[in-house]
Amino acid sequence: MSYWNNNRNKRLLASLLAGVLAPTVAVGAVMATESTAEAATKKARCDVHAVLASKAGEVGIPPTLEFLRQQLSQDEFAVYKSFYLVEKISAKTTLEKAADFKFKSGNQLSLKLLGDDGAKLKLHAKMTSRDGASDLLNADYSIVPKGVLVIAGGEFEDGGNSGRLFFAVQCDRAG
Amino acid sequence: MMRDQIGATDISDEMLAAYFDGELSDADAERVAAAIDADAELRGEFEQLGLLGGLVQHGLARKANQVPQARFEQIWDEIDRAIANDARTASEPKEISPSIWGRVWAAFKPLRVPAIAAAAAAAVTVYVVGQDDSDPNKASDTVVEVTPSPSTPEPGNDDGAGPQPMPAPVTKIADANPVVVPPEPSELAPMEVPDASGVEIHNIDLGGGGGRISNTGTVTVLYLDEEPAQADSERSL
Repeated sequence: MSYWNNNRNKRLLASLLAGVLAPTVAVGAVMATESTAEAATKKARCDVHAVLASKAGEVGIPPTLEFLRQQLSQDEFAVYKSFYLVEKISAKTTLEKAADFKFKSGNQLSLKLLGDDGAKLKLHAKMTSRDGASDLLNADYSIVPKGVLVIAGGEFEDGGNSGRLFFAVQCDRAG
Repeated sequence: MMRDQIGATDISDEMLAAYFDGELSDADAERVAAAIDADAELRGEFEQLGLLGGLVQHGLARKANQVPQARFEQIWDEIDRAIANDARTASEPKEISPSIWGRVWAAFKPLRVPAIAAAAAAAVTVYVVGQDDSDPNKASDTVVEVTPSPSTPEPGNDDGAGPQPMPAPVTKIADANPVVVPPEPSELAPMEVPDASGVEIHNIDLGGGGGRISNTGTVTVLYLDEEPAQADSERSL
């Protein structure tokens, strides 16, 4: 009888321990995975293409913007007949330091890496007006590496072409 | 006997349709109009044609309403441009202008003789300098570095099997400037865009000017209204 009781107590204890430890181990594993993923990405390279979209002409999508064809072919841009690459700026951002982009239009964009959940990069974007007097945008967002976020600015003229300015923002892990 | 006659008249379906579309001559149109007045069945057919036309028109109008505003603007722009092109073509004289090279050639007409003389002098100079460089003693000074191929036999190991084919010279970049210059950031290749960006906006403040977010699934666009006056422009999609 005593042996049976001891045996039963051991089983109860084992079940209890398993019930407590299993969720702890599972949660710990998930947290470790997340922290590893977040820790793995400390730096991101960001490319910003400033694109002038014009309703005039028949230029279409030039070779320099061919990589954005799928995006520029959406109904959002159907009204525009010509696209021009005004400038492309690349910079790196870290968990500590934001990357600053100054464009011909006068707009300034700041991108800061906030983290990486393993699937998406978390970033903070801040864009100022052309005169730098006010913030037009302050946003935290997540995006797959190399994914495009388009920021539509105002009217702009460059090289004799006028239209609306779009900023195609891409970031990828860089260490 | 005419086919597809309606009622007791000699008016066919085709003729009635042509009358409805206004394609008949005056005489035929008067005849059909008189027949419509006289025959109830024909009048009914004619009214149904009008009803059908109205339905088709309504259906087309509904389809047109489903066209995105951006597409409509695009179509409208094309019409505008076509009209403008036609007007410009009609107003322009049909005179063929000379080519750009023809105009350049004409502009440089007074300079042709001196230019040809200068080119001849330059050619002579190049030829003379080239003769001077053919000196083998000077030629060795201009080679940066040439490394022999590993398969080149040593002079002492010549087995007398005849001349070996000359290995292709491999020119290496001299290490005179060991500083590594990183590529300009703007020269980096563009990133290959994934099919879906999957943008998630967590917190957003669009400033005083306002704006909006558009997400088509393929692309997410944040519209910033930097100039409030442009919010009412036709480009505000």
